[in-house]
Amino acid sequence: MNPTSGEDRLDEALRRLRRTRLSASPGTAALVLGAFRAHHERRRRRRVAILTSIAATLVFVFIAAKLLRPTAVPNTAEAHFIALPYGESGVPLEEGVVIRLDLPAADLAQFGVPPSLRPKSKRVHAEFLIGQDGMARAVRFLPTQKTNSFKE
Amino acid sequence: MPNPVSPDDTDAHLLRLSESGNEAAFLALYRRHQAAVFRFAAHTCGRTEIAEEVVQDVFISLLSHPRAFQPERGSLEAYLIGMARNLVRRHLADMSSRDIEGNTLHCAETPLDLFSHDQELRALQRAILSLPVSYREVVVLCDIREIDYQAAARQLGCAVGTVRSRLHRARAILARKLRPRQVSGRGAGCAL
Repeated sequence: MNPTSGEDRLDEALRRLRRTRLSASPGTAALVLGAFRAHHERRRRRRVAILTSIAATLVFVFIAAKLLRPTAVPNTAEAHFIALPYGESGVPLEEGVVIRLDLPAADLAQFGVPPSLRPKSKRVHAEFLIGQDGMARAVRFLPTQKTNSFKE
Repeated sequence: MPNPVSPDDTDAHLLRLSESGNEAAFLALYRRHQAAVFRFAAHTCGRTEIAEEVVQDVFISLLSHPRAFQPERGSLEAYLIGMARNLVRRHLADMSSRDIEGNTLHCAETPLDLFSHDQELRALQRAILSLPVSYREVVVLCDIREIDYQAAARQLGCAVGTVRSRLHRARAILARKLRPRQVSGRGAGCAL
């Protein structure tokens, strides 16, 4: 075929142009691939950083929850006050306060608690009834739990 | 272990895999579409180095924003060409007419074809590059990539009638520029 008109030449040239194999160079492919790797490396690092901070936050929250957990209030429903020998001073109990103490069992002797009544544990949680004269009149022992009472 | 990639995998599937870091999937997408993007860019701007840059930018944008492609709105290739079109237009805005005059494409034809038809292809390339950009895009899409008018209209964001009329006018201009010397008397490819 020997195209003579402009239209023929155009058709022929377009056909040839369609047959040309044009493509980006291997250098461009390498650059794009490099960008892909860098992109995913950045994403991986970001993901690790996010996971690390989430883990750190969870650990912090767990520890904080442990430390700040509200202390259980001892169950005093079943415990009864036991009169202390030193409390029988003859002064009638007109008013008094109850204080809760966490103290070594050995120290109970100072309050006149007889050995037979002392708990076996090393530390005890106890409530003391203090009369208006400042003397401990009675004591009751609480179940061994963590309390937010004063520690001796 | 990354999922294996098959040649039958759809673009959407490959894109999902590459989004999760599957290099083979991304490479498959690149190999599948880079030539179309390069071809469009090269024929529209006439500069291979710009076409390379456009291919690079298009695929980097694809990996940075894979969710921007919505399969229900069209094919991935159309999406990539759309991106390439915007980038080429930006480059063209930066290029002076003197730059366009001096450019040539490096066609990877078989040696015989290249040897025997180089002059004619050069003349055609020069003629295409002399067209207004909107005409050039239509010629590249419809006459070189051979996509139908409707797809071209979607790609260019205009009516099918506009594509037809632009193509008609563009072809008339190209035919006039490629008219043999003895017929036109003005010299083919030199009247740009």
